[in-house]
Amino acid sequence: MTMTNPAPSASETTTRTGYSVCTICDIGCQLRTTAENGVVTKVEQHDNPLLAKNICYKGTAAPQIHNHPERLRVPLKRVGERGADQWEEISYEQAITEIGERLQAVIDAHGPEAFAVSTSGWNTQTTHGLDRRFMNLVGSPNWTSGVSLCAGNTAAVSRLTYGWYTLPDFDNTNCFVLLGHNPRKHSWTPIFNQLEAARARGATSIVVDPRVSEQAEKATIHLQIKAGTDAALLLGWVKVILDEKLYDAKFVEQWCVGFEELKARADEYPLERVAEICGVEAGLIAQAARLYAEADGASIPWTPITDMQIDSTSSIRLQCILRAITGNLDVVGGERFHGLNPGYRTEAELQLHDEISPEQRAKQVGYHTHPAYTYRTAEILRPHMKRVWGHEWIDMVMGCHMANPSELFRAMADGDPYPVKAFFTLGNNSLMSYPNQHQILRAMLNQDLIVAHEIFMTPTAMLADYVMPGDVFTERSHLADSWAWTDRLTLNEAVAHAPEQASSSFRFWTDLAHEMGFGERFPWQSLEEVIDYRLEPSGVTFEEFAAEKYMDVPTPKYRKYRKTGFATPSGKVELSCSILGDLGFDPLPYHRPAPAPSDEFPYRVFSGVREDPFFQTGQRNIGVLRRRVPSPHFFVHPDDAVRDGLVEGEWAKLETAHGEVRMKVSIQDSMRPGHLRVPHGWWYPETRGEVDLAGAFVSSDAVLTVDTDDVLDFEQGIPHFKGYPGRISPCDAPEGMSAITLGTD
Amino acid sequence: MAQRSEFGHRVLELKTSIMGRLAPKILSRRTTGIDGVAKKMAMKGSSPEPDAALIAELAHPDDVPEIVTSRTPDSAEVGDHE
Repeated sequence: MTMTNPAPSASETTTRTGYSVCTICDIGCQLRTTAENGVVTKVEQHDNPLLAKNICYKGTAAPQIHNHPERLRVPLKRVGERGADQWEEISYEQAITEIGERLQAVIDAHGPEAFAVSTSGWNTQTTHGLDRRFMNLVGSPNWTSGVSLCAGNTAAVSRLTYGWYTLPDFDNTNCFVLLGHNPRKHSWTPIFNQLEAARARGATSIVVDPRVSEQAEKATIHLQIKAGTDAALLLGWVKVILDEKLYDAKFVEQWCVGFEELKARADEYPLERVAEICGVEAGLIAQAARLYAEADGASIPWTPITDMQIDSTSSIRLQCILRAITGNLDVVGGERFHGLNPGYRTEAELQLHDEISPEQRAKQVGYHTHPAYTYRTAEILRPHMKRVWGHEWIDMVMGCHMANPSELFRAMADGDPYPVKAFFTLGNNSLMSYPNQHQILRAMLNQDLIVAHEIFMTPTAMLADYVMPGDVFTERSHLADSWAWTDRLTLNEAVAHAPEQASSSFRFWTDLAHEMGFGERFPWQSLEEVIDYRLEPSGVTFEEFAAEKYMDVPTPKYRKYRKTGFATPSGKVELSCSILGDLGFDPLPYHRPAPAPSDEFPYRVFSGVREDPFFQTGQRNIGVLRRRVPSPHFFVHPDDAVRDGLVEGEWAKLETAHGEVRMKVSIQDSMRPGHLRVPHGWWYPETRGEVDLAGAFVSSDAVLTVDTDDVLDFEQGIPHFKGYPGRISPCDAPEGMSAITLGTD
Repeated sequence: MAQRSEFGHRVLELKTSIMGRLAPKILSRRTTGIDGVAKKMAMKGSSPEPDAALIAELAHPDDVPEIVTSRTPDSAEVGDHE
């Protein structure tokens, strides 16, 4: 077996300080990190004042996270029943050998498509596309990720409209629109800082949110809509902009197709209708549309909110359409197509998508039913991507040729449309990261082989056959490329030692490929070697890059489409989308009503909400972070609290037709009446061994939602997390909760 | 946006292009020569002093025990469940 990237010597006695890219959340702040004798001791602001504000208190907790006494340090093999959380420690070599043998047995019995992977690149970082490379070489298309519900799907849907994914030109924008997105000082910190700087320059802002969020408090206009009605609101904006001729007629004429069809669709949404759907005054909707359209450079930054709705594809496309018709595409102050960094090979190039046969690609779950971010659309876009961006396969934000997670867990649970029997989960608490947690549990209990690659034991890892300890950002070299979201490269230097038996995701996939007999397709012996390979077009090595700089940012170029056109079948911005039309979907955006509140379930619930101390389901075991938010809270309006007998700080039970969770109550004037806000990803690591799966079913928002076809977005097949019916009532505290959760410590 | 002229586009693109060409100098490790001048220009107006309020927000107390399970001996939280 080839052992790659061995741990550095533990006998080293030095102080090392280096540049880091924090991976405790998904935003990638650049920091300075110090280690003493191989142990990380301090995280500080960057020494370049332009980057120094980009740091939050999660980042400075890296020493507590990386040196946590319960960090996984040795591979574990299950010895009890699945989920019983009983293990024996084994060597890394034994684990790789056994995993290879068992994976081969699944492939031999059920075909390569029976092997699936769910991962979070934000957490693992150093895969360099080798997971897809491994899967493509064995013949499985069933890779998925949380980015299918968050950002990756935005990238894929944006490509259907204009062949790329934009990023706001924050430095020059004069107006920005936040659709429920709420960047704060300690969440999405660099975005927060850029928004603050734009406001200081005089930029206006429009915030669309059922809650008076921190960003809404500062907004020029706040539209407090009913949760989940964003698509209707944006159709109303399109109507105003077209009726009042606030669009860029020259750009539309030269570079857009489907204008008349769009106009006809917008005419179906007069402001009175939109106001009724959204619960906001028509005049205010029109005022907001004018403010956006008339700004000399305006942007609509990415938002997770419209990624998780029953008409998500339409909501995302409407944002694309607004950018286009107002002339804000790839212009100063609008939104840029960054393109690829010409000096760095893409992950998609390393992923070898031509190695998996078209027949196997077509077996990807979701390919035939909800194809928007699967191989199916990526295949259609191949020649257009090649024409404009120089590569047929480009994986933006990891999200442009994914399997559909809901269909994947259905296949794992029920064998529909075929059995999936081996599931690898890396840096991803899969059990709690997708809708319909009960089905995911059933899916995992029906597997022949589960491998988890993690830094801590999670409820998902508790269900595995093997748990492989992962590494962290202070322990490895990396050059982060933001997965084509931008064209920048940022430097991460290893300063600390990884546990001896821990592995990067790069090392895991490389060693497994060697074990399974195709190691020659994984020729890189270390992370530095694979980075050197990716850097070859630039003519420098990783070592040379690191000696010279901590960031590479190509000179921006604007309005590139004038030379290349757009990477769509028409070569133009497709207001009416030919790919969706050809696949049998409505080529125009629409509003699709979500299941409405009823007497039985009178609230609109919106879940999937991020809290400052945590990223997704992580960090509840980090003392300095957990103490900032010791327990989860429902946000509820005071009038609703009075009516339902809810008391501040007391426990309540939220029920939907599909499940129930318990949290404490937080009564907030900022809430829109009739709405409930639910934070994402709560479990209780300290209860491991005392509460089933460490409380994974006590407060997790994934318990509340289902993913049956009637509530999935048609085109992507993603669930509705923003405004589904529920009811709330007082209850006792769940059993087995710790003192910190109960507030008695 | 509809009001921006072609000339207006070109002026703004020229300005950002110039800034873009300075960026590698601003983001290099060198602090002398052209790189040093570029850094001074870019940082003009920004305070060289650390932001004390932000530093205070980023700090964590030393005496907070980690949250562990009963599987880890000598834990501050062991036996803490009700």
